[in-house]
Amino acid sequence: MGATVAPAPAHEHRSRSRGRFVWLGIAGALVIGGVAVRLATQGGAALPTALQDGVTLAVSVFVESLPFIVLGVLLSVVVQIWLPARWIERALPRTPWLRRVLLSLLGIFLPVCECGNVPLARGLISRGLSPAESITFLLAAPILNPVTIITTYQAFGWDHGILVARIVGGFVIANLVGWVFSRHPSPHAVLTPSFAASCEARHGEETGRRWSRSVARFAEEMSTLLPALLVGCAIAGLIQVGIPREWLEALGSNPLWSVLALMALAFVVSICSNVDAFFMLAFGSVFLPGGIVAFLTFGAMVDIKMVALMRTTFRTATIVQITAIVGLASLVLGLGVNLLA
Amino acid sequence: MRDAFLKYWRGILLAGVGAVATIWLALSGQLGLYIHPRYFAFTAIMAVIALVFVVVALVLPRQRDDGRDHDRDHDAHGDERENARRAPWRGRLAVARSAVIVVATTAALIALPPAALSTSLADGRELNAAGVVGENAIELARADPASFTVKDWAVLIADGASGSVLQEARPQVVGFVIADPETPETSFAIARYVMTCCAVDAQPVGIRVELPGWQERFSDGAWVEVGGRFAETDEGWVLRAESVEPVEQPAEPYVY
Repeated sequence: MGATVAPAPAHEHRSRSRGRFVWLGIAGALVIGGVAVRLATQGGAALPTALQDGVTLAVSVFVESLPFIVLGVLLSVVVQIWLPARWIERALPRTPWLRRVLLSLLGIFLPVCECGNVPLARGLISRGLSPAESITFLLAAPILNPVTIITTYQAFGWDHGILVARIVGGFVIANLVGWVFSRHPSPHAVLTPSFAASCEARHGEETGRRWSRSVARFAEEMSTLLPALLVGCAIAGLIQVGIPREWLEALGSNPLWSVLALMALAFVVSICSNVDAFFMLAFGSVFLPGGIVAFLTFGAMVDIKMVALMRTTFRTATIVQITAIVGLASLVLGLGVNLLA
Repeated sequence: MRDAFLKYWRGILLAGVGAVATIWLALSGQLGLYIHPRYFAFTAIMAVIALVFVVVALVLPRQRDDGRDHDRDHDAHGDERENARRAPWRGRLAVARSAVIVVATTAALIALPPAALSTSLADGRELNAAGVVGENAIELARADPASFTVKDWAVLIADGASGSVLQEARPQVVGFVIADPETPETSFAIARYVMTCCAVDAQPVGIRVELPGWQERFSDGAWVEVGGRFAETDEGWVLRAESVEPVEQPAEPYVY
């Protein structure tokens, strides 16, 4: 897609600069309008309790995720614009499975939550890594990183092999999914057409100052990721007010249902992999260890927020396949732990 | 302008609103309503960095992608832009949907006042499931009990070995009321939410309070301050209330 670049005519420059000030005005109006509404309605009628709780939960997931998204986008900008492409190729071995194994350990150096890994995974694909390699990184990094491992250890110690099952399970499942997608006859067909095309288009793109390209890439990544994240947060927040947790907790002591119920809970609550072990402690007395392991592996890889974010990059069919493989593998892992523990 | 909005400006607007809201929460000391204090510094720093990018993008001329915008070529910003070109109504729909997201985000993050979770959510969650595990009861037993929260007392009670500390204690705790499902007439739990990451994982943690006829004085979910002495019963340790006063919800309603 190497488009030829013609110099922009003068009138277009004028209209661009006018357009910029329009957006500056809109941004200012949004913030000032929001503040004005807050001040004007102080002490006024509150939202209905359930709706307010839904909003609080959604805002909480967003406030918690936003810094990780910003960090992920910054890392993605560094990978795409500041890091020489050759450097990545030189650092990775040539054998495909070994590359995936190494990429699944990349999370050790990037202890961010799963949502921050999406922009970085996009950046890696855009820099020439295959979608299968990027998916391996995306799935493994939330589990195989020091913060997750430490918090899981703090929460469960060596009890029932939960920690070991989570680390080994996460590594194996991520590499399994990576291997399955590496067999795809046309690897880029797993990506949304527009993202695949943009990756190709960017291969020849080296013009413009790096700093202004970085700002542009930041804006573009935010434009893609933030609407998806916000929709995911809204669904995750409201669904928790709508579905009483007791329904899932009631299934706790059955070896099969405890695993399925906790996987459903993991999908719904969309909690960060770095701290989900503490959250799971709440259910330690209710659920069997297999259910807990399934929660800790499945939830770190796939949940409402992640599906919303992955939709920016992967086709729906790809996300369904990823969810199915990760779900089945987590189920098997959970049932196995229940059998052995 | 439509393409520029979907591709570029909606991200700037959303990042700007998110960053301003986060910084406002941090400056007003209300970030704790949504996330654990260990994330405060990281969250605030990232919000400032995001705001710098947003301001630079709004003020400086925009870098185009090598004319790809002119050529109506593919780029990274979603199938909705593709669709927008194929059918104009889809384009309008994509813009309308994004505009709704921007306005709703501004409403939720800036226009609405920050709020803690309501106490009604606690009814569906098991008391003292999280939070009392993993705490060091021995260290707590040596600490000054004057500053103890309901969580600290719950840890000591769960520990089981702190009887002497509990017997001598004169606890004074603030929390909200959860009716005791087993003996609703004579006792209730005084609880706070304990947060491990963000409000999503908030779990109620608390202690049982014995006070016959408490329903006549306050309702389920009300914030109260209770003082009294601990007593050991068949159901474990309870706080026999000597004074109970209704109070306002504290500025920091969660415990960590």
